[in-house]
Amino acid sequence: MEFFMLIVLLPLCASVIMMPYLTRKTISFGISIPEEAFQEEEITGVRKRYIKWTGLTSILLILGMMLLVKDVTDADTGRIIALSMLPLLFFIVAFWVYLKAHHKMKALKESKAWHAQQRQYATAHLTSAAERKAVYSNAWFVIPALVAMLSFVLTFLNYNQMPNPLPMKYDFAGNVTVWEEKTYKIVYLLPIIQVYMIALFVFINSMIDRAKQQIDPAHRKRSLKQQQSFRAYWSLFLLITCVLIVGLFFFLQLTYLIEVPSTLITIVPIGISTVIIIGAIVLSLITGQGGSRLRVPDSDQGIGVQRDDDRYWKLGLFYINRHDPALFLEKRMGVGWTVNLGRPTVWIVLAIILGSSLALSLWTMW
Amino acid sequence: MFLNIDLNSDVAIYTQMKQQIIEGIARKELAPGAPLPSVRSLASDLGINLHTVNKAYQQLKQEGFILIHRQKGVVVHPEGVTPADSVYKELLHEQLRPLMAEAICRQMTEDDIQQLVRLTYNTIHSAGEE
Repeated sequence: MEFFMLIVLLPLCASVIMMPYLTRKTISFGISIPEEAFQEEEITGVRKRYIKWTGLTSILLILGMMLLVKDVTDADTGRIIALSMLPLLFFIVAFWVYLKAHHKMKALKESKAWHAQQRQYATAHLTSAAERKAVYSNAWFVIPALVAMLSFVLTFLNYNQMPNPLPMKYDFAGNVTVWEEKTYKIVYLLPIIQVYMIALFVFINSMIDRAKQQIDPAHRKRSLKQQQSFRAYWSLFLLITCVLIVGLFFFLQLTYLIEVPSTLITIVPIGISTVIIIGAIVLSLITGQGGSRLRVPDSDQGIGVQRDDDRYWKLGLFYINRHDPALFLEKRMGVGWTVNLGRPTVWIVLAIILGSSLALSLWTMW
Repeated sequence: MFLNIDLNSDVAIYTQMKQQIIEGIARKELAPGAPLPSVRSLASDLGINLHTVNKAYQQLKQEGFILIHRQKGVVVHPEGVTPADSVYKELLHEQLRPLMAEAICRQMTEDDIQQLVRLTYNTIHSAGEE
């Protein structure tokens, strides 16, 4: 258990500490700067302070978690609550450290007037939708869909043979802690979750495809290539993650049908979630935001800098711009995508996602 | 080809878009029949109003530079742009007048102007052969 804990905590902390180096060089703690300024002394100072404090917090988190998890049993309710609260506390502190850095950068930017010296551009690449497409086709999601179908078929054929009551939750030793009476709703819960997951991943994959293509006017060809590879990498990661998650639920459904060693029932979910978390963190380190860490030769005369749109980024985290038709775009801080909260379409999309996941969690209670 | 909208410029955004697409066709960077992004996709990449992109596309369509299909989307006119006729030459003549007038006011000779015209023509024309 301690080993699994370390394996997840170390990369997680590393990704928080490394954050300023994962984002684009033109964005520093949610504030846009010219790329040359990235190495200026005051800015490296802000980064160093952020790394120092997040590093210190990380050490405290890992030590605390290690002490708490040692010889923990299911009876230690206090300890288990502490184990789940500590990471939350870590993220709150890390967020506060980020905000300090964000405000420091804001003040620095006001005193520097970098953008006043350079022309601001919005750059786009003129190609068809087909050529712009970098993500894997949604057709690939047929693979997890077949697994989900198999789940349904097996459940349908073997309903009578399933044990009653059904084991629902296990502790770390592999003993059943929660039993539920066998009903159709309970039995079909896992296959339904599989279908929901596939739908969600297909949606995210389409979102990545449609997201704003951000091209840096100072390095047009390079940033175009980088962000195309970036989309391709993460689209593939989504596909693999989807197969793993659907496979995990398929495995759990299988435990109702055939005798599976109880240790496996504990190890497989932990193992799969570990692989996904580590995969996401390693991939973030490889690609960086928008592919900024991918090595691509630069063969372009720069024409200027990207537009200064800081005022639309609240706290450097939330993008609210009514005048931008883009629904999805790259995050400012971290690796991945976010939404434009200034668009009503986005509110509807968010409501559908929240509503459907809520409906799913209430499924067995109706 | 890249479309670069200068946000500090006095030239309207839709005009910049038009001019750059026309120059792209002149430089042969945009071949006849080459697909262009949809209005929505281009507007969101640039972070500008849909109507602005639509206006540029509609004017390019009217002037015969692009075609807008319902299914196939936007393409550079596959048969190439209509060659200059007397109407177009008349229009060009009109458009040159104020430019010449200003240059004359600023004491440029006919030779100076000729040289500049040749230079501009060659910059655009030879860029396509690089």
